[in-house]
Amino acid sequence: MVPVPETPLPSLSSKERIILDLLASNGELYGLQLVKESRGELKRGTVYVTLQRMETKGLIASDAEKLSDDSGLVPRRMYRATPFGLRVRKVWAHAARMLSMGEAGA
Amino acid sequence: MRPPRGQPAPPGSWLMRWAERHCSPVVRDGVVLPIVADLQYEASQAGTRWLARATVYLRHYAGLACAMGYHRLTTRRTALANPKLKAGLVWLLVVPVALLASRAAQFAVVRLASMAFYQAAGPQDWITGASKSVASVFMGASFVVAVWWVAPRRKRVVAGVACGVVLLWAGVLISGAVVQGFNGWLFAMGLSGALGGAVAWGLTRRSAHSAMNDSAFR
Repeated sequence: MVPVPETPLPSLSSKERIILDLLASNGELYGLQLVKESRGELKRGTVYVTLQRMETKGLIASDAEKLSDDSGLVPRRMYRATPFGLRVRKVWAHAARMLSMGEAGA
Repeated sequence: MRPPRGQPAPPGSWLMRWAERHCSPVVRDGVVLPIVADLQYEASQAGTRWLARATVYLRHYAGLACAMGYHRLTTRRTALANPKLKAGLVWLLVVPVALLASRAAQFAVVRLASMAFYQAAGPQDWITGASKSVASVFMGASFVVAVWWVAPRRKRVVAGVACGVVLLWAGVLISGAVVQGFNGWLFAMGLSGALGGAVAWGLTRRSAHSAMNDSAFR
């Protein structure tokens, strides 16, 4: 039987978990919207460092908004969870539930 | 990113120019650009109300400062993975580590000698002088060996320079010993230090580790 190669499970910090939860329930959001929806858990500015890290890990993806060429403005980015990110979120949520069930049963 | 001619520069233009000049592409695109985009969006929402616009600017500049600091902290490991930066940091450690090693060797030998001879009969200044002379051998040797060990590259050359420093220090001691009436123990300490440094340098030159290190960087 050919062994199935294991995909290493990426770690998920508390802020990354919050971002994935928000994106899973709201679909696509801008960075500022994530900050507003998190009710103080995420901070302006530092949220983008976390989002950049999550994008590198493949948990989320982003698209720049379409602006006219002559506006001179910087386009905002809209973030969405990738299928991989949603699976990672599900795995961690399941692990947390198993842990709490174990503690309740002990 | 420049606005069309005749139009005022959008909010955050100065920040973008600063980022293009002083930040890496990763920091500029991942941290500064999104914050500038939010700044422009919220400034357009604030309209012409000066207090609202001032609050927007203040909030976003503060957010940028926090983000830059947070980015620096979270990518610290990545920065240290840069071999040039890592080598630079290691070079900074060479002299402090060598001085510490030399001092540790002196402390150890003098302490051992005082424990071994604390009740020995005989003139105490002889015992003190002898222990300091012996300590000087180890001080010179440990200085050269520590420099050779810590240096990330060109180990032989660096060990040679360290030996030169030890010989200079020994020369100062020896000249101090002969200038104002001959001081035998000071002379002995200088000579011992020079001997220790020279022997250590000879051993490091023969070391296979030196040969491997130097050939890798030729």
